Amino acid sequence: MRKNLVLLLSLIVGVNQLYAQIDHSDYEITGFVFERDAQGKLKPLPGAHVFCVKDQQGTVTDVQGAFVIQTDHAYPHPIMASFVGYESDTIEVKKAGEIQFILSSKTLDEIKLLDRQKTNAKSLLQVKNVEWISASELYKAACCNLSESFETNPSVDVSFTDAITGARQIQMLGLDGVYTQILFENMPLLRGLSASYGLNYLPGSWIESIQIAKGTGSVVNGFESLSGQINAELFKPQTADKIFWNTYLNSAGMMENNFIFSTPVKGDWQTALLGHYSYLGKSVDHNDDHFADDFQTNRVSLLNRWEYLGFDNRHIMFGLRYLTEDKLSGQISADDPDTDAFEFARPYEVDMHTEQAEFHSKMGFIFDKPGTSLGLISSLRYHNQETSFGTSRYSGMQQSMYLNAIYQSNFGDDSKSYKLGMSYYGDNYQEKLKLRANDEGSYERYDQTLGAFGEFQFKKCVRFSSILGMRADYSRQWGMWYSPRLHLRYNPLENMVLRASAGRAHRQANVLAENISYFFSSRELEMDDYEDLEAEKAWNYGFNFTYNFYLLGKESTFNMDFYQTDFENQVVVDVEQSQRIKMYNLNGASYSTSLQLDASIEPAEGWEVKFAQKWNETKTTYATDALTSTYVPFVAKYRSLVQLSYTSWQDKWDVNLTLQNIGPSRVPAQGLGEEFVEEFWSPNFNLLSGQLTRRFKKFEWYFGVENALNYLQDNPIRSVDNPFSENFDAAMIWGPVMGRKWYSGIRVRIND
Amino acid sequence: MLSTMTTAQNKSKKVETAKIQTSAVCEMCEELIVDKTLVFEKGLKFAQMDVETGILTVRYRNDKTSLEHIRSIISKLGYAADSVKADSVAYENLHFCCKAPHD
Repeated sequence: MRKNLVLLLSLIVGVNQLYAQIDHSDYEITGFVFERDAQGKLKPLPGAHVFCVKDQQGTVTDVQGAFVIQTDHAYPHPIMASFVGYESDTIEVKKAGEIQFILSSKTLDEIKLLDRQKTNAKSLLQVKNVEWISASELYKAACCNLSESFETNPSVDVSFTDAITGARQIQMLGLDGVYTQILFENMPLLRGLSASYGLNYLPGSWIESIQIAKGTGSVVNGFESLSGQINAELFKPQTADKIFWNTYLNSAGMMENNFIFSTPVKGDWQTALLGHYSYLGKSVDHNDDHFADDFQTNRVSLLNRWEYLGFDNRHIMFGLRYLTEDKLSGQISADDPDTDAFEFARPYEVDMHTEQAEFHSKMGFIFDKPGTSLGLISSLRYHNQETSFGTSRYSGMQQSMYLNAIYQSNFGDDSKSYKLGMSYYGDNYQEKLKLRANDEGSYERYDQTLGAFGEFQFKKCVRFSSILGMRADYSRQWGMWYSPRLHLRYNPLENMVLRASAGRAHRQANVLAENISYFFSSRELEMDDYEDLEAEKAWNYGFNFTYNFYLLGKESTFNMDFYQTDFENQVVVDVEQSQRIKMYNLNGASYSTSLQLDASIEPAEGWEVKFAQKWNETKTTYATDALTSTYVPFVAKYRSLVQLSYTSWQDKWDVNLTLQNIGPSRVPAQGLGEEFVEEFWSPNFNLLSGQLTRRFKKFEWYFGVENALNYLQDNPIRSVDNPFSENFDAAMIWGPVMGRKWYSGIRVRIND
Repeated sequence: MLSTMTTAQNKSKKVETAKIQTSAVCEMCEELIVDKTLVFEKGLKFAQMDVETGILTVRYRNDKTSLEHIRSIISKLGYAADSVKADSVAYENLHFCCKAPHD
């Protein structure tokens, strides 16, 4: 407590020192906007919108949270401060001078507010189309991992990839999750071999908030992000609870434990240890096809973070992460007493082992000139994966290095600011694939990319701003990559915003790791030379419209997103032909068009209803039918979502129900001889999930259900009785492969 | 337990609103009284603190709790509530900012 007070005092002293230099005129209102963090300390809040209620003249706070408003109106003068994710506040100013706002954050200080807070918000002031999801929104679903945390969110679709691993993948704007750049605090999280399945490796309880940016991303974060950017902020030593513990158990017998400890260490260091352990002792088969639906799992993940708080103008943070996972799946052998006496001479077994280690660091230097800083980011990663399935084997090893330096400053004031920087990506991949009786193939690559970027932000007035970014990267294999990007924002009205964006992105595909699901079949790999698979390039452009209005006295939102991605080159993964998986460079058109409409209303105090409807048209030219483009398989043509949630006063009770309707997706023709299945469109189906959370003084308890209607895809595995036959295929998945699942858990926080 | 049940039978179930003058002076007091304590009290439907005046507005179910009980909870935290004096031990343990009105 004493430390907090010292901090507060030093802040106020700092405020006075700063403002001693400024000449107060009669028409100038100055001040600061602060927020209170989890420990109750006051922290400056940069980027908050401060404006005069009478004439809507306003400004945005700088890095120190300071603002200056010029006004020629007579006093008294109501001044309002607002910031996305924070409660707005209004102060009646009687004479020119200094005022102070303390805004309550909805993430860190969620119990502070009297009004119900929105846990899911879209800023009207940000230039990019960013949706912000707080930890409270994540708590609405069990969110065992990052992929599941999107199940209550209409912007990101979650799908199953195969009937063997149970791994979930995401789709955004109608495109596979590998085209979305997934970051962890603006550092690469899932690059390379872990792009498809890595989402399952980030425990939901570690996540503080998620930002989803649709369309082209910032050049600062790299040349990737074809369809969007997802950034997960994890709990930091400063923001984490002293002790947090979460335990979860579901009806399949899966147990999960997550914990966070944070503590100050001698000499101004602060550390946090984040841990995760999940365990399922045996494989379970619900649909009696003798293939496991829930898999024997053993996963341990640890993250140790360090932060140095001793400097005012420097910021140092680093962390170490380690993960190990073993999964056993496939045909349940006959000696298991829980299954009927079905004898397999050779069971089709799937055994997966994954190991990841990572070091990352961030350093920030703040210079005397306001708004000027230098950031240095580095990360080193190691990923190793060994998979055996039936008589086939896959192994993949990745060593990666990432460096990024960003210098940020402005031309005079913050209406024209810029970021300049350089980055380096080095990735070494060694993959081996042996399919059945074939020879083992070896696939090696050493990617190196050195790039420079510049991003310029112009704010013409409160109503209009733009960001222009340019990136040039030199890839060792493919030469120069240019990635120009533009974002525009216009507020025609205070509560309405129009955004447009356009940009180009590049990506090097890791075709084997990303499509490992398709190898859980009898397919033969047909590929041009591995070295000939070119880097993927695409343009993405689109616009967004957000309108906040009052309905029945409550804030309501309407939102529309329209985005189009056009590929210049893509590595096409073609499963159109029976028993073949082909990989080649795109020859023809490939695009994805996505339209999303969503609205949320508050019919009564504490209640919220959300509707979303989305249409995707995702087509690629497959060489089998080179003249026209065809719908990409397993991308639903449309999806709708209705969500009803109720939160009682001070979040004591929280009930949430989400109903999703998933439209048809194309399933390619498959099989030979008598087992031939013609191409078809999967049927519409509904997914219902819900959760109840009760907050007690010392802990929270939650109880929920997934796939409550118990909808299951018929025959998820083709030729399931004969996994070594030519028609075996476990990757033709368009619907859920796991049935209704109940779960319950508790979260405990100790801060005293 | 028995006595509360009998009072519950005597009175009709009703949500009552009342104002309590407390000695709370800052947001830290508000957090301790409202967010950390009263939220979890049985029968309390709503509580709002005016930090400027120290007046606490409460809505509660009179069959599950009583105004006297709410006052005694506040007292145990170290604050005066209407005529009920603050628990002296709890008061001593308060943060010094919460002890005396400051300007």
